[in-house]
Amino acid sequence: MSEGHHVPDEAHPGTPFAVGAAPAELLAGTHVPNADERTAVNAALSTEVKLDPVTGALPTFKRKVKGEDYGDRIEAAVNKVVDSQLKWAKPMETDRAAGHVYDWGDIEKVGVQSKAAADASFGAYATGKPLKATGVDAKIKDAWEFKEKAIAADPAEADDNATWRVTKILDGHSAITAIDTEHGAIQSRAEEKAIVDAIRTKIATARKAELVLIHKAWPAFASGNNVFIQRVQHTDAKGVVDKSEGRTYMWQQFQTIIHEYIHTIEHPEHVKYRSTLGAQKGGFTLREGTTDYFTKIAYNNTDRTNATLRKNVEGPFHEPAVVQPIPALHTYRESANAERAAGIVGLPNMCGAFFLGRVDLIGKT
Amino acid sequence: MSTDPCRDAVNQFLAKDFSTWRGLPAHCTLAALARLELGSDETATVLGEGKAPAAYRRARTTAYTELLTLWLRDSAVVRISAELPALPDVPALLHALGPPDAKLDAWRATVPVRSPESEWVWAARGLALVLSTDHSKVMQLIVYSPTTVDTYRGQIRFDEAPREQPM
Repeated sequence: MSEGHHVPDEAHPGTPFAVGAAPAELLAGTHVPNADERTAVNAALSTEVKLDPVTGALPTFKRKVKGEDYGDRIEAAVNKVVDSQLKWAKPMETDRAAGHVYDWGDIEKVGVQSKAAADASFGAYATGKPLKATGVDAKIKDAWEFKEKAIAADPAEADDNATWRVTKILDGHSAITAIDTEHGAIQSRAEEKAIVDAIRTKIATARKAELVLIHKAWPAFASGNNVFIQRVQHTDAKGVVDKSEGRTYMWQQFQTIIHEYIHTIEHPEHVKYRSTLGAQKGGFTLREGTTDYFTKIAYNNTDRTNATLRKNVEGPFHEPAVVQPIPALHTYRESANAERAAGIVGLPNMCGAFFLGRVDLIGKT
Repeated sequence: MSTDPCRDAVNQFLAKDFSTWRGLPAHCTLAALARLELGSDETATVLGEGKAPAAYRRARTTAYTELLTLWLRDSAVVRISAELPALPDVPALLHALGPPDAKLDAWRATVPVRSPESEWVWAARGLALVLSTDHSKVMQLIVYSPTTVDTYRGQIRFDEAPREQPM
């Protein structure tokens, strides 16, 4: 990270330095990786299934382990995860119907704090405008509302929404990963794929309405350069919001918007490079993992005990005498891949690539 | 009709009259969009499979419910897109436009899942429509300068998958 005395064209936030035009001090501590480092960083960024380091082969699939069938276990585990997700999704449907939502103005104020947090760590490399939720520059939008509009315009969206919810569990939930490991399963391999595909279809069909509800209630997503968040506000019978819940919500938005703001200052050359890589060959790691790696740095570099910050983030739910427990920061698992890459080429190289477009610093030849 | 083809095209865009659409004239600038409320937040990005550098801004008009996205390259407007544009009588529009030059697999609006052959491209007309599965609605409207399908795919198309926040 830089000490931050150079700001790229403050009059035009969002305009990155041209590649090679950044002040030399922003590249202090960087080095062009050698061949061994390039190999190592590419391996670190990759999320492909790794060969057994001893046998050099992929694991052997075992349909039954301790008498239990792989498919039966996967199906039960997916259904269990869906059940657990419904526990937070159903109340949101009730609250949404009641019509109480968090105020866009309060969310925008959090966005200003998120930008400040990211800029404090990375503003020397690149800056953007704070993300807006209102007016013509709005990039933060209502996830629930947009998903309902999309389904209304194309009811087949709901089918893909339901299938996606199951796919997401199958692809990455820890309960599934554990079963895959025990059975030596690789879901992309023909035998396992046939089993998993059938389970996906079965559950997405049988539980479509529940899965669509979970989809509408999912905390946040991004699409088309917009960020979609949930505004649903839980209130009591008198329509009063619990201030502690309100504070938790605001801190979650603070975290989300740091991540999304960092996306907006990614250098186009970095976008171009990661787009040439397959998703599992490092493309997704460079897109989301690196963004979350920087999110962690910015977030942990922010003094969250600071009274002014707490007041600004918590907004109308702030109570000076109450120190709110701040929710844990959740990141993409690929942030670990980005951290491994940083361990090889160094943080200055990661910054130089992501913010300044010097992708040779992360292995591009 | 005015003597300014850029303004004429924008007026046609705002009127949602695409059956005779002939594309956004090349080299139109933001000056042609005076009827729109333009955002000031310009963000660097890339477009097309070639990841050609560009920038985008938002714009607002009463003609469309959702904000428009204006895509710029070297100060020229290279693309305007609108989500859920509520175009009237889509079947009649598709009939008037005739067969598209290409049908591409577009991302669904909220999930990283491709909808097969849902993005119909009339490259010579500078028009692309992402259609609902039954082709009765337009999920996304995209206008640009008349070109080839290859150029549309390579330099103009926005093709980044939606992504979800982890939890």
